[in-house]
Amino acid sequence: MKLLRFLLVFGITVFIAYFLDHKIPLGEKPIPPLGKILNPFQGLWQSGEGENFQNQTLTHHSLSDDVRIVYDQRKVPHIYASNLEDALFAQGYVEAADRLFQLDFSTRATAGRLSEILGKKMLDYDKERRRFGMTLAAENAVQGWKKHTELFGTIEKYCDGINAYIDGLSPNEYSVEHKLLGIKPEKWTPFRSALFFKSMAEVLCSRETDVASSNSLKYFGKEIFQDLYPEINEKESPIIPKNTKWTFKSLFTEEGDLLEELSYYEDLRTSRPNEGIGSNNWAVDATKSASGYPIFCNDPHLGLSLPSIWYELHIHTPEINAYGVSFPGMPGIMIGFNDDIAWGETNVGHDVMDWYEIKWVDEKKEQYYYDDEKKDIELKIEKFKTREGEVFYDTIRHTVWGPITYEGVDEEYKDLAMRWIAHDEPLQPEFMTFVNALSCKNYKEYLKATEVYSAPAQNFAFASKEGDIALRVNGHLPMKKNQQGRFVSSGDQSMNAWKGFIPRSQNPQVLNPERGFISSANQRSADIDYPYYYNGGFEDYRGRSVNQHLENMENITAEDMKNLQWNSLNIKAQEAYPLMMNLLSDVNKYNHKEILKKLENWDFYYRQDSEAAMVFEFWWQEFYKGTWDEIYEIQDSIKILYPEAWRTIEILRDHPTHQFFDIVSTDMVETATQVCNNSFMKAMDRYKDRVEKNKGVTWGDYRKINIMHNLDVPAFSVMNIVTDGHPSSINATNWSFGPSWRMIVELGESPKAQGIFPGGQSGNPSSPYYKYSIEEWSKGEYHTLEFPHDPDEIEALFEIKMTSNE
Amino acid sequence: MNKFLIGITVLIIVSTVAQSFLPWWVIIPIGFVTGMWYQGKIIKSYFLGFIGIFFLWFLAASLFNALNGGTMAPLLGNLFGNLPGIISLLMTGLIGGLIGGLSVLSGTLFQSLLDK
Repeated sequence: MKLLRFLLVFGITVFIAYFLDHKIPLGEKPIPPLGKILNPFQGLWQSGEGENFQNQTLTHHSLSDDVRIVYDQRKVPHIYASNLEDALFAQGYVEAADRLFQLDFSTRATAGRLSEILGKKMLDYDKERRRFGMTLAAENAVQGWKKHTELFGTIEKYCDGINAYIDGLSPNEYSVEHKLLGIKPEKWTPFRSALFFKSMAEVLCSRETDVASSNSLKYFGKEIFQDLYPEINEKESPIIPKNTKWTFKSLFTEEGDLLEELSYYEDLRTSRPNEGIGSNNWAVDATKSASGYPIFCNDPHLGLSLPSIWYELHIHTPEINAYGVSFPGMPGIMIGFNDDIAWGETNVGHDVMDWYEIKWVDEKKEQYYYDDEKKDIELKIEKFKTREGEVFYDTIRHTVWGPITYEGVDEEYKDLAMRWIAHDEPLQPEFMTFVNALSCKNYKEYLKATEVYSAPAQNFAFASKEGDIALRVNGHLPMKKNQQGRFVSSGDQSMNAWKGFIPRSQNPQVLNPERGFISSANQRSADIDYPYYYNGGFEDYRGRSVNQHLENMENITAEDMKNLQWNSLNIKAQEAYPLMMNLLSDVNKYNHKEILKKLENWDFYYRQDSEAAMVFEFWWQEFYKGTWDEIYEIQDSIKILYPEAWRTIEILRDHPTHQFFDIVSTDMVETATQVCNNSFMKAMDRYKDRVEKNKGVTWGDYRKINIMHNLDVPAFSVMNIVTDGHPSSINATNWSFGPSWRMIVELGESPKAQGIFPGGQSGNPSSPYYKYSIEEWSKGEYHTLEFPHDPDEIEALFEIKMTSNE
Repeated sequence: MNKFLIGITVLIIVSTVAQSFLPWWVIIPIGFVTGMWYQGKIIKSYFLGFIGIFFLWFLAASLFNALNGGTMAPLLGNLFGNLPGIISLLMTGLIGGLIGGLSVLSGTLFQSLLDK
């Protein structure tokens, strides 16, 4: 009896303790190991961050001299070093200190290793990363970088800095997230920096619609296809001004086009970059600015997350005095300025990911046809470990084109191999781009500094104290035949390959244009007279809006630029609105007087307090769905491309009796008039529904922004943020993305700069510096960016003193 | 000082030292030995362990929370579902107390086995 009693109590003790030490897999939301994470000596109580910081010291063999890091009141580190290598060591250290989980988690995700820490449910995600060749791409990058032995040492110094921080950590100092997941931070390597870089390539240059385009071409035939999906928007205002003269001829001489119908394909790609992601940058020269010096602006619209993808820092050495934002994981400053110049990027939409249908010799899929040869497949076996302790394998077949990413699920569907620019071994040490930029003094130096860049291609904008403004579409752009890469191509012919790259000197670029400003907002790079063909995904409204505004502005100040970055005018709405209003029937006009009055007085700005913006957005959404109902209905059986908004508006304007305005589900033959009125009624229903449910009827009530933590934990996220803007306006905010950094630099004898991102420097969810600037950001406010030569001018939060122990 | 209070004091001191370099569940053997030494009634044994570790974990968590700016308690409250910060501190104490109490009780019951 006594024995039984003891065994029972002791058993319960051990049983409960076991569960307090292990994660309990209870459905979607497992219970974390509470004993482990709550015990006060090793658990989360050790990981808090407040406002009181201690000064720190570090001695490290990788340093050649002393480094002083002064954190200012916003926890921005100001690094004072005596040479570049030590400065980059310090950059690695401070980024790790504030963002270690972000670094560690994001690169494990890119490498397809999330099942190891989050469990089997991530297996499909992981498999797709490996099949995308993310690790292959990163390995190739490092292989290319290593050929530049001396410069490779530079990135190794940066990695040393990250590792110096990791090595100094005891397990009770691990981040909140590392503890919640029960994992240890892994050492940093140049390979992991490459992985980070390739994850940006996936976000920025993996946009393609090859499968949907092929299906649409086969489904509709050439005539309808070209009617619904034309490539050139006549209203486009390209990045390089329209009247620019091209002083060279295309090196590519192949005639003809590749508008070929192959077959239907299943769309197996499950993760696609968010379509609205894009950016703005622009600069005006002395003729347009009030100060007589250029003003430079950049706001990249990446996915909004906590912590932010950006990290602010200041780097000072005898040769460098630069400030801006970095991507934690990459050395240097991506968007920033120094005493002499300012630089920044927006994404280039050229399609650099193409698909090739493989023709197998037989069912074994070991050989495929390539010209008249039978080529052997190269097999690579990928191993996946799961948190549950299981092991899975995936065999990936590699072809001359690249990995076979998608295998058709039945015999009718073909296997597709991926040709992606991000897989190419870089010829130049591209990681140096944003390190080189730090010390540039003029455009000549900046051009040379950024020549090493390859992919993802970016619109590199520039302005200098000397008065130059410039923009270059920078990166490797493949030479393509007309229409090449828009569709799936046959993989059995070498002639379907890219024919090399456009020489860098012939990439679209412009220096000091007559109009007095340069700008880019992800629209087409150049007008149709540019000698090379290119296709891809391009923005059609933001760029026009930027250019229209800048053309009409004079005596520009930083304040004007703030207003421009905040500008929520939507040209798409402005152009669709009169056409749709014209078709509205008298009955509708009579029955909905109140709302129509608001619409009639609307200026097409998507301000948070605008009711008209919300109503029109509903109307447009319903109108678009009503017009393309045929395409919506077929999506379940076959993936068909949705026509672009600008083409929809063009058809509404020019062909109101277009066959697609007919609604398939009725016996009547409808025209744009019926679609307009029906969609208006639907929009009114949605409006009334919100009124009845007290949901609020302004744009801000409807469109709220969620800035989620990397692990989607609501307690670590900020949700329901109300602010101005629309993806088609300059202030390109949307549910989950928006201006992830706004920067304005007034060049001059000593440049004045302002900037803000929605978040803070710290990646620690408990820190006051974690959600730091979200409110100010949502109101369009900025911080003044200080970058003094003298560290003692900074009002210090705390300091880190680093010394060499050599 | 009575045996109960001596037991609590020793349990707290030894657990504090041990936990700074050993995993949290080291409180089980420590509580077990304390229980063997204490040999009290079942309820009293349990409460010795419960009160000892409850206070140790609650106070230590409060201390580290305060030293780190007091930001962790409200964050954990949020994480566990919109609860005030003090709840996460009490939860910490309760979890420690639960295991502490059971461990001391186990030790006492084990000792009574040997006494037979």
